[in-house]
Amino acid sequence: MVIYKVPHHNLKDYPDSSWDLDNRVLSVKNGINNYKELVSEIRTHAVYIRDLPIETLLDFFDSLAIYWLTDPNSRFLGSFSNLGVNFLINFVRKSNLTNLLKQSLNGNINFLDSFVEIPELQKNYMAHPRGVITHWLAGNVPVLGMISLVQGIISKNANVIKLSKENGLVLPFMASEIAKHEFKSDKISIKGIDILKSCLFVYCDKDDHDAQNTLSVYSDVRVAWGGREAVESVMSLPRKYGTDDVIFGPKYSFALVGRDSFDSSELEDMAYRLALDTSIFEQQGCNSPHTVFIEKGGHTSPLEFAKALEKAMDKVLKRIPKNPVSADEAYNIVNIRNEYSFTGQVFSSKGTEWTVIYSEDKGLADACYSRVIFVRPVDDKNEILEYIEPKKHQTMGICIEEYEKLEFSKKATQKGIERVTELGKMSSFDYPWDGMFPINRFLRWVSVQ
Amino acid sequence: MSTENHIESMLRYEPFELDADEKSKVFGTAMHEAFKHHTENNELFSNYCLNQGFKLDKMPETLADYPYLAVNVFKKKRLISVPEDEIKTVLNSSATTGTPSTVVLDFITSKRQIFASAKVMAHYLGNHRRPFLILDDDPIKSHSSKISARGAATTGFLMLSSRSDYFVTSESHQLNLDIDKLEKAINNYEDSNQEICVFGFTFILYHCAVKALKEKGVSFKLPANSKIVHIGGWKKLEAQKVTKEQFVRDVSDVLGVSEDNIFDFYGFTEQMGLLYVSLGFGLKTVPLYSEIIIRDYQSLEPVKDGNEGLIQILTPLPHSYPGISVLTEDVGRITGRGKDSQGRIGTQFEVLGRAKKAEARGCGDIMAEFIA
Repeated sequence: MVIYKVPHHNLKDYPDSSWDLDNRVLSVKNGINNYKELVSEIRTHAVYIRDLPIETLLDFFDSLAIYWLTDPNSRFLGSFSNLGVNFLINFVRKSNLTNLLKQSLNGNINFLDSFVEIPELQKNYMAHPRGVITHWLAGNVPVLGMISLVQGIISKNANVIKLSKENGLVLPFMASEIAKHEFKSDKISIKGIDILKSCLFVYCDKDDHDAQNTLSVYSDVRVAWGGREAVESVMSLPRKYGTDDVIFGPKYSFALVGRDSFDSSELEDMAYRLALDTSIFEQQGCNSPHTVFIEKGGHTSPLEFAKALEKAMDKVLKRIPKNPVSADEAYNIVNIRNEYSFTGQVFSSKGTEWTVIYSEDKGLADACYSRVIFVRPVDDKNEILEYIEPKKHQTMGICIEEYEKLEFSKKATQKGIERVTELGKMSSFDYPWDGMFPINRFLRWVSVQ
Repeated sequence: MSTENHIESMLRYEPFELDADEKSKVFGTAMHEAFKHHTENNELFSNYCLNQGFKLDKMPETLADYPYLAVNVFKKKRLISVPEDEIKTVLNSSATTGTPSTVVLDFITSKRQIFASAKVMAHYLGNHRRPFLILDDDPIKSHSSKISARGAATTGFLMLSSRSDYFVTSESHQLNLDIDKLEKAINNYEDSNQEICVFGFTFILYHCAVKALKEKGVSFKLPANSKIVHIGGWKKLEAQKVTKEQFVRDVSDVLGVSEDNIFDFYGFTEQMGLLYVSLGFGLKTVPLYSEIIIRDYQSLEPVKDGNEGLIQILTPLPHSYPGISVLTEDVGRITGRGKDSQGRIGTQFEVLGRAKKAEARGCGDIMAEFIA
């Protein structure tokens, strides 16, 4: 299985197509030969990470983040500057990963290494990896594939990554950067390539039923990212008894700014935070806001907020350069600007970089993506509760008075919202995500009395 | 001079006779008049222009400065620039999903459209009448003021017909070619050596007729100067991996006409009457009555000739609705300016495909959805 080339990719976007993944990229057609042996191989290699102390594994990723940030020889920042690389670097910092693990492991990451006694329960507990996690990735936000993979690694599982057609090569290329990294401490030395030996990257066509079925039946956990059709397609594949499914389907996010919830002097800052949330990932993330509701009657009118957002979007554009848009995206942007120029007010860059659309329409606007944000006034913030639907809406960024926050969040989450954050933090990846603690779903809890 | 006069003066010229400087004056003046008419008589449009940052007391200096409407706007808004009682026809585009585009036509607009299309058709096909063999279903005659773009497009071409016969029948969304009837008709014209025109929507013509005849091993030799005219989208044929080269070759082989007698007409509902024609494998040349701009996806500025982008087309013809500057969903590129290989003067371009993935449009594509 020495196959390096994935047949569908966007390699032209990258300055250097070379990588060293020890032949771990597999392109298949009409089924997968010898998959049982391949899975057995990565299971065997996963023993290496299983036996590493979790602290050491986290140190490895932390040193990798520092290398990416500081070493002039690292190509990482340059190669992926417009693909959310800063987001990824922050994600793999030890403090962040420890935090995610603690949330999934009842506050103690040592459950991953050995039995830990809980005296009050008179029991010892341990969390074992489930085995083989297969990740079906979406192409829209390639960095999320890395997020998925890293969680699979730090939970000490073997990982199979089913690459998407769009941006198919981004993930192996990013992973090759892990493979090249080496971490040394007084006690231990870890080579990235040894970690990557427990991972396998596979590309097959979505209609290659034999290959898809094979990937599915050898999975202990199936993780599916993407649109509804894509995730339903994965869920419909046959699976063995006991396989768990972790679904990250399509979601819509939005923001709310309450009446007089900030000082007038903070307007610029609030708008900037929302502009950041809107610009990261070009609104392709399920946590990206598409509509912001502004409660009327405060010192800042909804229209004034829209104008502040206009300036902020332009400012953020300088910090996060825009990814080139396709013909389809360009047309959609022009079309939505045209449509609202008749009934609302459109503030936009001269090109297709960003768009702020103010209108008195009710409800959530249809997502246009590509940094198009709709500003809509509401008489009262409770109006927006009517728009929330379970399984459809994920993150609500809010700026409301502190005393109302928990009560309002309770109502919104009862309706179906899964995350409530401050403005500027919508785009971060934290737990719970889509109603769960994903790492916990990658583990099998055992006990000894 | 009245508002209409410059536009109607422009229509007195032949479609490809003026050089760039002359066109700039004639077309530019007509566009100014059209813009003035719509901003003065269409509040929605004038508000739109203001919202887009245009100053209505100042005319756009270049064609690229005119505000443009995305074609989808005609699905959402009923844009009207004349009193309601002057509307004679409501034209609906075909659409696979959702709402069709709606444009309202008054007498002036219809007259201009017919005039412009007749001039372009006559230039390519000759202005004499000849029998039309239509590879489509015979449309039900309707006296309704609401007509489909497909019906209107077919009717428009029949001004060059001495008689018209239909050879496809539709049953439960299945289109079937009456091969016997077609064979008999063509044989009759072959015997009398009378020039004919075979007309059809691109996909239907190929899928129902040419491909079916080819598979049966049937071919004809149409009388001298006979022409094949096809209109509508290429999307469905592209999906079936039928290239333009294969299409032209198969049509030429099966119907026995030279490649230069196969005419591909491009146009769209929002600017009905404007026709862009390519012969065989050739390119399309813009007539005097319109101009093309290709816009960059990132900057939305006009691109350099040769580069691809979104197709914008300007024309002063629409009087009853402000479709004078329209951004289409099509991707194309300008391939040349000045005289084309046949001596026509105008901007030459090619359509590379559709920008919008979500919706297939174009009459032929729509019919293809029914019969595929």
